[in-house]
Amino acid sequence: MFPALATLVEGVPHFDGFVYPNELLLLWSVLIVIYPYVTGLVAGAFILASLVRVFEVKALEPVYRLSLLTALSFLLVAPMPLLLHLGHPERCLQIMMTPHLSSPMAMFGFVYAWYLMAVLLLELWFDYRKDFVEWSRSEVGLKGIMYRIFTLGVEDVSEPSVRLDARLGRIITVIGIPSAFLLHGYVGFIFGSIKANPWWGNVLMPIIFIFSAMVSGIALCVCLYMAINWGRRIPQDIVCIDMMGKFLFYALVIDAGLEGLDWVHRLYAADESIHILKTLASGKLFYTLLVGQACMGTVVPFLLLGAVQLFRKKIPTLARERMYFVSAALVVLGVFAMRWNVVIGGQLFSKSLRGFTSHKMELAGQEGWLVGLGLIILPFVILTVLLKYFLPANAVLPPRGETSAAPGHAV
Amino acid sequence: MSKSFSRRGVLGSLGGIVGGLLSLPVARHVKAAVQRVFASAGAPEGYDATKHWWLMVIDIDRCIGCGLCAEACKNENHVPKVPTYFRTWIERYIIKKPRPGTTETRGETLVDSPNGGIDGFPPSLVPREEILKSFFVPKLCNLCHQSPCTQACPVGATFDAPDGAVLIDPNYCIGCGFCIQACPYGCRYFNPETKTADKCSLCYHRITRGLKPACVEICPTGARIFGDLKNPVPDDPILRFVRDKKVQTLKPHLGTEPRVLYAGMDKEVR
Amino acid sequence: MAGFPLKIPPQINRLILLTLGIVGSYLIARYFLTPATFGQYGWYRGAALEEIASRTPVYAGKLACDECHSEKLEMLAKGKHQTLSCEGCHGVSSQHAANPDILPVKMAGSHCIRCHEQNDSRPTWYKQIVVKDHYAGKCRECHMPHNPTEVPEEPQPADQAAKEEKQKPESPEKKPGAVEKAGKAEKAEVP
Repeated sequence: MFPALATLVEGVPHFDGFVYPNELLLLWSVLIVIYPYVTGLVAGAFILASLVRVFEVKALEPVYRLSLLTALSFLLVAPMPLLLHLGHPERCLQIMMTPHLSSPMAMFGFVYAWYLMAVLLLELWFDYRKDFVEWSRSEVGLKGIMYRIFTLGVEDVSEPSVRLDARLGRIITVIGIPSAFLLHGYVGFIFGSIKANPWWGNVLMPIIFIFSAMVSGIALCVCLYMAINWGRRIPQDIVCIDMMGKFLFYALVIDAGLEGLDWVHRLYAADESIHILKTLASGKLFYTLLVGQACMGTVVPFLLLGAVQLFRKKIPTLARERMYFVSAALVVLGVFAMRWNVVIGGQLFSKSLRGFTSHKMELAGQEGWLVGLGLIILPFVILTVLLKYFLPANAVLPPRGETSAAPGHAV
Repeated sequence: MSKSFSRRGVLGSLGGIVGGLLSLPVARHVKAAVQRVFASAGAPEGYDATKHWWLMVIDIDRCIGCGLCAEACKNENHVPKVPTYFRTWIERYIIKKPRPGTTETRGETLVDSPNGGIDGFPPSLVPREEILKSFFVPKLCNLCHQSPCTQACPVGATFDAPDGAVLIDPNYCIGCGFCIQACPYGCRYFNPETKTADKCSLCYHRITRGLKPACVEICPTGARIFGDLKNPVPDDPILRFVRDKKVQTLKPHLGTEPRVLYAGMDKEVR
Repeated sequence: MAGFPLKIPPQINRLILLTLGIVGSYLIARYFLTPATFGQYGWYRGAALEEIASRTPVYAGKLACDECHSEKLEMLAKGKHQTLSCEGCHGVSSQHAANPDILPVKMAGSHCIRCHEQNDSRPTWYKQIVVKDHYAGKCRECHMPHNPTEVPEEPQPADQAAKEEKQKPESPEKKPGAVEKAGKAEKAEVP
């Protein structure tokens, strides 16, 4: 399509057609791919938990605490890729001190602080307060001190007090649902508000981000729940998994529908950017967009989950479990591909709409494979620690409002 | 994070509030000391930013693609001398004749900018008889009225100065790169030396001393015209240019309302 | 919680304190960490304007040249090269302007073709030559750089030419290949 007029120059990445000289090097790399991915997992896992608390989907109770702890461990990691990619990380507090209100990025500090402290930690605290008090009495040593600190000095576990906890927790969750939408819709808006970039500047972007977040968060919880049960040699709760599979399927349908709508609109409206975007999708992004995101990340799980929805009674339990696990794992990877396509894809073509640059990730370095891999693994490490202290093996199923067992030793 | 819920933390914070309220005069003193870090000297005396309104316009028909402007810009502003960082650069447009037998009115458009045009432009690969028309377009910060970069900056490190320049505060920029993504014209880059966003400053250190920006100073044909709308000179070249020429801006559909005006621009220019 | 007359449940009480603590620390931090001149003109540090303006210019500018070389500038203003800047040909000269003993980096004559070599993309009004068809010798044998339509009365003094060679030995002075003299100020026009 673009005959190469340009000659290769040393230090300049390979490019086709014409690229504004300042666009030759990609500015945002894998760290900015990880950031929306991780926040999406947070929002999705929280939505799953709120299904239990607000919408009272009883079948999902076994994953309530797991999904909240998952959300927490990923939320703790969420600001790290942002911080690492800054040119001046030491100036990061300026975003809180002099936030420029017209910038979607300036809201990060506040949205993050709100979500972490006003929503997630509060909900966890109300849910765990009674346990903290009990564990602080039964445990000795450092562990006991730790639980005592978490009680914040409130020792009242009388029945009215615990009832109040439950009521407050529910209110927090009700506030939490729009907050989760805000947290991730806002990430979508960071990209959607860039009118300079036709691949990003799109009114559907925040909504697509919210639904892909729900899809990825639920899928991650499916994988984690099943993996933890395997690890702890606990039989799978097929009712719970069936329910998660159902929600995953519906979220996936909406997500795929929205992304399809986006493409239909782009192709039909066919503004000046459509030629370069078509070339982008079928060329530079062929493997990550068409193969990874669309085929493996959407169509295959859609068919698997759809088949289970239609023929649930005819498929044996074990096969169903495996189908859920495979489709959830594919979805988790597919959503990562989606984030990659948005962030990297949006920088591969020139805003002159006349050509493409190229991107090669380095192994080490600030935005290399190693740092990226580390940031993906880190939330799982945090989750393991959290599970050890807050979701021990013999307390996997704490029924709502009843006393859970004292923490034993984690697996 | 959970640690911040400790009782000691709460009491500490409360103590901070009370202490802060009690010792406001002391606080002001400390604040002044903290902020002295940001102070600096060496600026030109007697320049009042509110009394100027700078503007640059470009006459495409006068640009010969010599690349002196892009070279001078790098010298003047210490831009890394690598082909991936430019405050200003020159693009060459070659519009081919329509292919025989098609209904096109104009053929394919080829654009290039080898090293931003600094080393000049090699003879085109397109044979002369296939060229419908060809021209050079100098690019620089478009000085948008509704600048998307200023809108996007999360901390207020990039801003529209009172005299019309769109500037970056290199001592305040956190280097997030959002403004670079927001600029539709590719005029911003991430400076690998300062680790901040960087762009054309209209040679702010020159214009505040009564000099012209380096690119305007060096341009041999007068393709770039620079002036002060609040202090027009007799027979002001900018006012004459705006009056006499049919001018356009780049990407007007984005609503950025660039103040850099181009005369003689063709529809293929983006 | 004896200090509170209202019967607030202890957990809420604790959270209110905590919230106050967090918001308070934020406000205190904001008070100290907001730069002094922030908001002077708009949502940015007003002092930034001065800081950005405080850099030293690199190019001296035509006005500085006029202080000593006004006769050259007068000559320039009469001819076709009136729009040229001194430093376009003579190179960055702020050091030379501050101390005349430091000579400018590059001297004239070596790069006429940077602007005048024929290129299909150059505008048609502009004088262009195909160097190899034009003349094999030096531009300055026939053109005065400060007034290119004027022919120098006599060939360049040998000592000055030698000085230039020393100044810029690497400059591509000659375009070998053609011997034919094609007449001065020939232009090649774009179709």
